[in-house]
Amino acid sequence: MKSLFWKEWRENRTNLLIGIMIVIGFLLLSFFVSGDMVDIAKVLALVAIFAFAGVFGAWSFTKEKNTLEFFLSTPVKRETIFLNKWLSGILNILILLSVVLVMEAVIFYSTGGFNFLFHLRQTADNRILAWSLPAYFLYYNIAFLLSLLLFEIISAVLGGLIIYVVVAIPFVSFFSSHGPRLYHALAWIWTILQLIISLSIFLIAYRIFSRKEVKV
Amino acid sequence: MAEYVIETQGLTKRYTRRNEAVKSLDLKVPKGSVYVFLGRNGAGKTTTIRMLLGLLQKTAGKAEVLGLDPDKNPVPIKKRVGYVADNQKMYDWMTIQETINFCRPFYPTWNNSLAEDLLKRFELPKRAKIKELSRGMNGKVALLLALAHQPELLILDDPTSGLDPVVRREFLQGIIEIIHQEAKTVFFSTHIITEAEQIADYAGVLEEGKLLLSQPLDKLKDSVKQIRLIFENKVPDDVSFPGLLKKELIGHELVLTVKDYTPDALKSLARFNPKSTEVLDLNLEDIFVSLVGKEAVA
Repeated sequence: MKSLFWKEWRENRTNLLIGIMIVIGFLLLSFFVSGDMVDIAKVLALVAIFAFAGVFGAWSFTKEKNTLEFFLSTPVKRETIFLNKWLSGILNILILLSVVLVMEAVIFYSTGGFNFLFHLRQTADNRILAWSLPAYFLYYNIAFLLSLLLFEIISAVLGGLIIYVVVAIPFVSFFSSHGPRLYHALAWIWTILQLIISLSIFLIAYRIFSRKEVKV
Repeated sequence: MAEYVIETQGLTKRYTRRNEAVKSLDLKVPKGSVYVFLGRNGAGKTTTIRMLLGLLQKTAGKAEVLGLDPDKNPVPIKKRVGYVADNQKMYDWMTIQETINFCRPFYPTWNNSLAEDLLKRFELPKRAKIKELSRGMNGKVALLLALAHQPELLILDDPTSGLDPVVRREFLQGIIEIIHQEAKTVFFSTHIITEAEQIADYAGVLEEGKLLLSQPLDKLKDSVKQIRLIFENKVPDDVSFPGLLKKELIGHELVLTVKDYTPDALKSLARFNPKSTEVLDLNLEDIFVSLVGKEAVA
């Protein structure tokens, strides 16, 4: 619903704007530095999006701490409220990722590149599809669930990060011990695993919200 | 069930094994009435209202609001009910106009001209942010949102708590005007009795989750009375009366507060030979205190 989406947009736009500025800042930095620093700056832009994925997730229900009763007393299906909140956060993450892609394209052409799509295809599956996007979704979903349970932004952000790291450690240590030989296979298994976990967390959060009671 | 807009049978809400907020509530709110739901803080009024709106799931019993089960049909109920919560918190970053714009699409029956009329009547500045409003004005915005979609039933959960007497009177006046103009059913929960008496034609008293009584206000005032007996000598110990709520002894004077008063029953007191007998009317506050006060006879 337009009205619901407008509300979420208004509540998220400051965080989104700050996120865009930070991401652009790192990418501009990559334009002005040289050597390894170029890649480090680009990776920092992606890490910033990861951090904001947690913030968007944690903010989803925390911001409703005092207003949930008012929101739930409107004649809107809980499913609609839930999906609207979830999709708004996902959209913000995709906007930040789009900023990265657009900025990279601008930098690519301005430094003499001529086929950005080819360049993207070479880097996308590793940096964005295999690693970044599923990681964003997973962290976002964990923080989203925690915000629904705790209504506390710091706890949801930090708790989400701790849970993400705990989930990721076994895979990363396995990957480290086997080296680049299994890189592609492991990357895709990890991608699929993260998406499955994300989907499970999404369904758990949905079930909790559909039964959530406004207590006295 | 059509003659009642709210009807519950054995409605129960249990948060934990030891915490039963509402205990087997049998409630009937007639269509077109102004029903005042009285109870002290923590009596279970808000829990009951939240169950009626589907914000809380009932533990046991049955509930129907406008003929619908709130657990199964919360959205159709909310479309037809106007609700003002106790100290309702809306989005403080929105202006009043934005709050109206946000809520309007949810209600197919939203009446723009009525909303405009209420804005003027309540003297609400459209461009003011919710966070800038006083508690009274915040309550008026909540009332506007509850009324602008022309609900069949208005549920007000202690809407005047925390308001100063002047604002409370203004707020109540707004409600009274609307009740008279629109002839709506109003279910009004409060712990401020004097305001309830001004607008009610039915009253229910809730105490510790139990409904102590539910009656038309006139009938309630006819049946709950204070009987003052003055004796020449010692007051007999065994004086009793049907539906005795409270018994106070002051020297040679015995004051009985009873809930099942009839002139016939009064005759039964003659055998105690009082020097004089006087029957006193009670206002709603006295009745309420007699029912839920510490000195009430169990």
